[in-house]
Amino acid sequence: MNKKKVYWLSQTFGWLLYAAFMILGGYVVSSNFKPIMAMPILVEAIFFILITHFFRLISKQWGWLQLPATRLMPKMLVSIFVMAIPVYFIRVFMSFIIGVYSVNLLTVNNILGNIIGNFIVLFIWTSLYYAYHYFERYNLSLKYEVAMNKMELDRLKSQLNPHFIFNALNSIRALVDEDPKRSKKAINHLSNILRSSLTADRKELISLKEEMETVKNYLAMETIRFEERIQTTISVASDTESVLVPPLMLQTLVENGIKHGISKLKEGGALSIKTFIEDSTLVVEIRNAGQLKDKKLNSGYGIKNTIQRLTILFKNEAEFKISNENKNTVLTLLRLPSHII
Amino acid sequence: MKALVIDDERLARKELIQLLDEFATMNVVGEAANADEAIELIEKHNPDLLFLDIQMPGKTGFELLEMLDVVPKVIFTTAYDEYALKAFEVNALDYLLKPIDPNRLKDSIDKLGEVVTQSAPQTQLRLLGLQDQVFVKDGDKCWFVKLENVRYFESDGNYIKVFFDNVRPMIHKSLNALDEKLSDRDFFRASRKHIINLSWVEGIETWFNGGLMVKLKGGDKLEVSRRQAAKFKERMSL
Repeated sequence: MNKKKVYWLSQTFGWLLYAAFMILGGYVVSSNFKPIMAMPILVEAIFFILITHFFRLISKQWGWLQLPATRLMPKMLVSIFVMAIPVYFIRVFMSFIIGVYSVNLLTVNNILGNIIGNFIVLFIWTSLYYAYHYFERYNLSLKYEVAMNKMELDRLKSQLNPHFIFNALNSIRALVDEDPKRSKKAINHLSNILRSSLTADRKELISLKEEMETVKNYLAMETIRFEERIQTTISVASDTESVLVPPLMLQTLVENGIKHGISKLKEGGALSIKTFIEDSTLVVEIRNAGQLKDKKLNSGYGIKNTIQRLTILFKNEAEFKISNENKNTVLTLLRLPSHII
Repeated sequence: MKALVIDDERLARKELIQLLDEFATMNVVGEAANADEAIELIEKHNPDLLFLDIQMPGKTGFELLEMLDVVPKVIFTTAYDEYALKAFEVNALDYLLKPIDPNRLKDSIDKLGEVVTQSAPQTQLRLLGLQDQVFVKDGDKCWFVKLENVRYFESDGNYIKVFFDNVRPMIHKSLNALDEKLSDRDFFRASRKHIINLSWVEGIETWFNGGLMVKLKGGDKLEVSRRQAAKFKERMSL
């Protein structure tokens, strides 16, 4: 059932139920209640439907639903008061038409009493209406949070790649004897990577400069592992350094290029990273030797993960594409709005 | 024990070879950076033991094993992807996680201890006997099988079903090609469809048209064709 249907059903049945109670009440309270007297109550109920619907339109139109409770309250009370008055006069008018009108309908006591009664009924209606919306919005934000958490977890999985860490440690173990100086450097590279992956959890965005430091450490580590099988070129335009990027996103993309591209080639190959500004957006191009197979597009390359992050962070302002540039090169293209610190 | 180290990373090979240095019984006869190099070295040195990385450029460790007729003892080395090894039945499989813990390595080597180096002179045309081990991969599942455990082979189109324990994985091979590789002493081509492991034969009955019906331990019954029956009787009698 859609929300519109639910709204109209509750409107109709709610107000009819209200009318039924009023009529029943009339019978109980006054001994000379005539069936014809139910008429103005029913018309009143219909008027309630119309006026609350009108209230809903205004509330939507003027964005009252987004207001915090403290700002909403006065607006709500005033509108209820304004609505409560005509409702009563509709009843008086109807009574007049069907000939059950009596003078005491217009005594101050009666007028005030009925308006207050209407006020209470309308107060209940609006409270239910806003409560429903608050609950719904709360629900949505809960769902959002769950999605965020899950993504966070996924991100951790794909980015702190254990395979990489243990292979790196294994290389270092061998280096200790072969080239002690280099092994010390390697330990620094690895700890820098681990550190940035830990801080990455706490920040939504970091500067490209910081991210490139991680990427360089990562590449240094992989170069120790794969030796002459990897050749890297990095060109970062100076005006891109302060642009904000999601932490470890470039590192993940570079790692993908190595894991699915270069490491699969016996002779290895080249990897290049280029960043520049174009039409005031940041462009990152990662090229690696290898060839993309269609099947891998959605799974192996962690593409889904990256796209998800980009959508949450940049809505549809970001662009991400991975494709075969030619027969032996894969191009990963990333375009981000160039937000600066 | 002759060992071969296969890993695409030079440092990883170096590290393992250095660790193996500590073991007097281990004689590292070579190292290979990929499956093709490994095949060459295996043919040349006929090692008793492979230290094998699974993820390598070109062919994976599994693909390498599939290319071998006889498979030596294998210890897989891997950084993290144990899941790749889940393909194996629990039997006779050993693996080491990188960086390798020297104590774990010692355990693995000790376990191999009993396996005496079969120093039979290795001619290129050595036929497979009961003590030889083969690697069988069917879909996602893998087995190391000692031929003495195989009851019989059955051809099925372009495939052969290998019957052992309670499984019958299929391998892509022709029964004729397999027949040529198996030693006559241990295996017998019963018919167009079957090769029987003679050590599993329990009883023989005469069958129609001068053929025979062979009963195997475990209850399988296979027919020996008329053409092969005389040969079979000759083999089985004194």
